[in-house]
Amino acid sequence: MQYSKKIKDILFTLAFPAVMFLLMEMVCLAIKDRHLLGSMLDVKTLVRNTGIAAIISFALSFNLSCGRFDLSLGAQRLAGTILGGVLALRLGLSGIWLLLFALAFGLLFGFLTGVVFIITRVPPMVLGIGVGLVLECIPYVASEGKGLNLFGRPGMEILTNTAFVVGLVVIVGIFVSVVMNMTVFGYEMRAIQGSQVIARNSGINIFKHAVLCYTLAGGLVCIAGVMDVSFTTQMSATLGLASISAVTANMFPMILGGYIGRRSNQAIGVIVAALTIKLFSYGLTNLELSEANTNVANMILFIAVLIFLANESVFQRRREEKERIAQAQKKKREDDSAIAQ
Amino acid sequence: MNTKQRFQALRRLTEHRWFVQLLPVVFLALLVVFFFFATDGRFTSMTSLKIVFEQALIVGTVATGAAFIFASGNVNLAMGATTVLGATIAGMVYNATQNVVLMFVAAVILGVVLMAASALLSTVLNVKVMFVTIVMMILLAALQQSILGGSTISLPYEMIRALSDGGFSYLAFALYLLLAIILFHFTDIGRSLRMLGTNEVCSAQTGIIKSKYILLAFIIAGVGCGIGSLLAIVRAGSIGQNTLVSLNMDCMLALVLGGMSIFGGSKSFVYAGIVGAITVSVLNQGMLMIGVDSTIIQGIRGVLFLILVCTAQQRPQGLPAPEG
Repeated sequence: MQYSKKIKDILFTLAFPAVMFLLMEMVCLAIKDRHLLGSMLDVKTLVRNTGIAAIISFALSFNLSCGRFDLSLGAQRLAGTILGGVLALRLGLSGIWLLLFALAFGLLFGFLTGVVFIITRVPPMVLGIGVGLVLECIPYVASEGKGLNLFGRPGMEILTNTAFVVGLVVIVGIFVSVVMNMTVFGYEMRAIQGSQVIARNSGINIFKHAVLCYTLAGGLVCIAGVMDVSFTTQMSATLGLASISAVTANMFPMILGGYIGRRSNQAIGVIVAALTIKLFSYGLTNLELSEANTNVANMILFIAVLIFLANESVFQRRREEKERIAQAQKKKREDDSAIAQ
Repeated sequence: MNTKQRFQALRRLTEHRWFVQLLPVVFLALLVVFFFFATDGRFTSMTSLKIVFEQALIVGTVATGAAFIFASGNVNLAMGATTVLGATIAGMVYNATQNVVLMFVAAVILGVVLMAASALLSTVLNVKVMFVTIVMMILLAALQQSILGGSTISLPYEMIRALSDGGFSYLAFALYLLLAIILFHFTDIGRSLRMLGTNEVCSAQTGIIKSKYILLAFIIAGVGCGIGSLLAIVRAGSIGQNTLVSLNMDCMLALVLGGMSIFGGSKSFVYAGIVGAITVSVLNQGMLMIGVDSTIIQGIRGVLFLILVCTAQQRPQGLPAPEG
């Protein structure tokens, strides 16, 4: 019984990317007479984009699971990646060091944002604007407005290696999975998800927990930032909170991942969701849709998913109500026929 | 009076309704005085003040509408994208029809429809406001990019000049502000929204239908977005992908600098939007005039934002989350 449930859960999880792949493959073949993934380069790009989306989704999930949306995450990613990169390049170190420095800066900026949050206690979205405005200035000043440029820099090849990218995503996935499911932190997170007030009254230090969430999120977005810059070779030091979009666009895999993860765990759910959405986007790009049109299609699909998730209990309640009415009617018919006899 | 009593007296003062409403005005006045001396009086020249007011008009209009949403304890980040999309469509309508009235109607209707759609997503379809606002922000920005496709919509100079010389921007803003003040401070709509922001459970028990008033708040804000679109057209004369990119954040900044409570409720007031917008504009213009680098200006705005948010708002006992 339990074995068949596990099989069903695995099939449910794999169905999302499999169905999306088949759907987009058929559409691409029918309209453009080409495969969805025509070369190894396509596969590598897909793996890289899925990895970046999954890691940013993990980062978002730490705070979003507790009802907080940190608008400064994009600025943390920008600041951590550029500062880490600039430092590694100035010291003449390899890509691994760049990753470690960026991670350290990300953890630091995340920690500082978390501390500001628990001191000020203003809504996270509002706080994120203030912190984001300040953080965006740091890489701009540190890089003299140039941002980070890895083009032609030796020692960075490791970051573009597909096996390394996959390994990194798997390590991050395992880390998030362990933290969320097998630690006191994860237990406290589930308690806070249920009710912050009750969690606090039961002795959970919600302030310490919030700082940890911010810190981990900051570290993760910087890993994603390094993965991104290693392929694009360039990260501009933007101002005016333009950094927000790089993070907000990955809310979709996080939400869908939460749904898929109900049958496995959230980490697997997020990776599968990221892959599904990237296959969809890749298909639309293959159909020669512009980036803006792809974003429109993605967001419409996202809204549909949000509506479904917000109302799935309504559908279930209606189904149960229909079943109850059918049972009552059946019983009434049986009673009526018994009386008639 | 011991230290504790002094602290309590200070806290009572800072939480007083009039203190919250007057602090931003005093802060603005102090800024003007500071920049007056720092620029040897150049800051208060007619040209400089005109730039300040013109910059503040668009943000002030949209932020005035956003005050209705803030008052109910909600936040909307899609107002900038709504305004820009409205400006794009209204510009296209004008270029197709050469009719100013149709352009005006298109901008306002689009603003109202888009904001109402956001409200309905959360009130009727039960999607969390936090998700709706972010999704709509990305969706509307992508739609605008999709429509423009890298090009710029330019409007005839004569029409822009005629509207500008006729004082259209000031008149449209004044009328909207007047309407907003009446609705917010003298009608059931404003009272109900403030009540919702103060205590949602209590407001439900007094018979306030949340979905109805949230929808109304979004519609009124939508009118603000529509007028903001027209002001953007009149100011720039063209709409491109970089038009008003920071409007969302400027609105939030303006509301907070204007003294609006970020938790909404009874201490909300609708003219926070324009007071804050002028403050942002004064800060930008003043610092530019004394030679501060634009990067540093952004940092100073961020720090000021954080300081004002912390000092002007009552700190909750727990962490601000869905249930406080």
